[in-house]
Amino acid sequence: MNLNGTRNGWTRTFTGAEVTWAGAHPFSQGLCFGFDDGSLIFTDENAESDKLPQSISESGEPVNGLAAHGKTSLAVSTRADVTFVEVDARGETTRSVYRGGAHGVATTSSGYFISPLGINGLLVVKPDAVAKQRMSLWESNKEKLYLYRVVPLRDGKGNEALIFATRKEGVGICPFEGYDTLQNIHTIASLGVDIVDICEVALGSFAVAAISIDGILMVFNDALRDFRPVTIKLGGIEGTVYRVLSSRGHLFVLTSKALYVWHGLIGGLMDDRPISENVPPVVMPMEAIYLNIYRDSLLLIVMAANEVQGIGIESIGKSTSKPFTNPERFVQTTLKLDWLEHDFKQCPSLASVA
Amino acid sequence: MPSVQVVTLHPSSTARRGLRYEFTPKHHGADSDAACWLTELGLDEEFAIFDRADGIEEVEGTDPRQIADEAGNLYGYELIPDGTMRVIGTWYQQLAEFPVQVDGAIWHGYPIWPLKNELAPENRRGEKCRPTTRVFDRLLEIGVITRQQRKRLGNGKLTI
Repeated sequence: MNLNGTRNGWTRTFTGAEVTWAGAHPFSQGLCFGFDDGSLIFTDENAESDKLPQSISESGEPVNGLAAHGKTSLAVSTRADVTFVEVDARGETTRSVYRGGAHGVATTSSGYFISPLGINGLLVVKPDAVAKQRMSLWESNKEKLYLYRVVPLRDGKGNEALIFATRKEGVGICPFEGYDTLQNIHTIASLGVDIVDICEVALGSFAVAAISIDGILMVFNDALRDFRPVTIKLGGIEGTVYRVLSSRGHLFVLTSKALYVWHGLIGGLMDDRPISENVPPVVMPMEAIYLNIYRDSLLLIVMAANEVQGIGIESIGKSTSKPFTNPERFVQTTLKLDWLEHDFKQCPSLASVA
Repeated sequence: MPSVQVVTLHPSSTARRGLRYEFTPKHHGADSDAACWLTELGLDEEFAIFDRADGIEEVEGTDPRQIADEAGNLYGYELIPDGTMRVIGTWYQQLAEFPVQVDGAIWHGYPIWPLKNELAPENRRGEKCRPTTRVFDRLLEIGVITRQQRKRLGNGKLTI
């Protein structure tokens, strides 16, 4: 593995297993990379490490998500399984495995791991250092709701909520109070709008941004109570939208063709400031598959090639901007939004423990 | 109401091996728990996906472009004009699986997501995740998908 540094960041190139995920080290400062053989490697903040990859997923499938709670609980997802690892005070580990695929995994402030399983529902696990981990699986009662992405949120009063990207059913929203409370998910959708990702936009609130496959952005000041999100068509972006993230008031959108950065757009919307439609994004053409943010300071971009690029957020300026091929910038738009309620039921049994 | 009411045999057979194909109500809306083909996809288009999965007519020295896993299950796709894979299933699937049949039996198929289903029927639990990585590698090898799309598929993510 090689590391090439530049003034604005670095590129970490790997050999052997292909890197498929990048994010924060689950238990300390530093980074973590997931690979297509189900292994992880932990590094320092400069993406340097002298350690060997650790095999986590028994399926050996590519890592597509990782979440941690405290200093002892780790969850790693792949398309074939979700592995829960508990580390005790002596450094000994206990593993439990859900042997079904997930699109990713996240953790709530209250310590639950949440995995969206697509049409198969939602996996909820409160990690515990026991031989048989309790796992709770929730699935749609009637019409299937596709759970593609989930973001757990907590407001300043300690209330929690789960926000989902549910594809053409739109943005899914439900309060969350633990294992047995998930009864229904409300969705807000607009005909033909295919929501593929969501992100938190302000800590300690239920403010979220959701994005469609073709670049329609929905920003909720309070996803539990805001029935009229600001909707914006991000004109001129090329490719299929893969990811939306926000940090320091900026908006980051990864597509199959490029990374787009709108400086201050989210901050302006949250502060209810008028937004100019003539501010072009910074456009960084690239072939990437995944985007993450480390500590509000560093973009981690997993490339189609076997490498990860780390780019300092504040270093992204107009100097890196490429010509914007489409003169359209973005326009605020009005969508006809429909609210629906989807009943969920808890599956009676789940045999996936190890 | 299912778009296919009774099991219906397609009049053609595949170009390469002469396999027969039938359309099943189960995968055309009769079973809400089963993977279903998009109703916008015509039956001839569904058969074309199967035909493509079986490969093109063999010409000596050329790759028949068949897409199969280690067990012989076939996998199909439909490309749209910009070269990306069309969504063909009601749950956003972009690949179709055609489970291997004994010699002479009629084949059928359904859209498939690359996520393993833990709550699959008992007889399918413990199976390897399908499509296997070999199928993704094959799609890359014959130029159907890019390296970027190969990694996205392996991650269980949309690949358009």
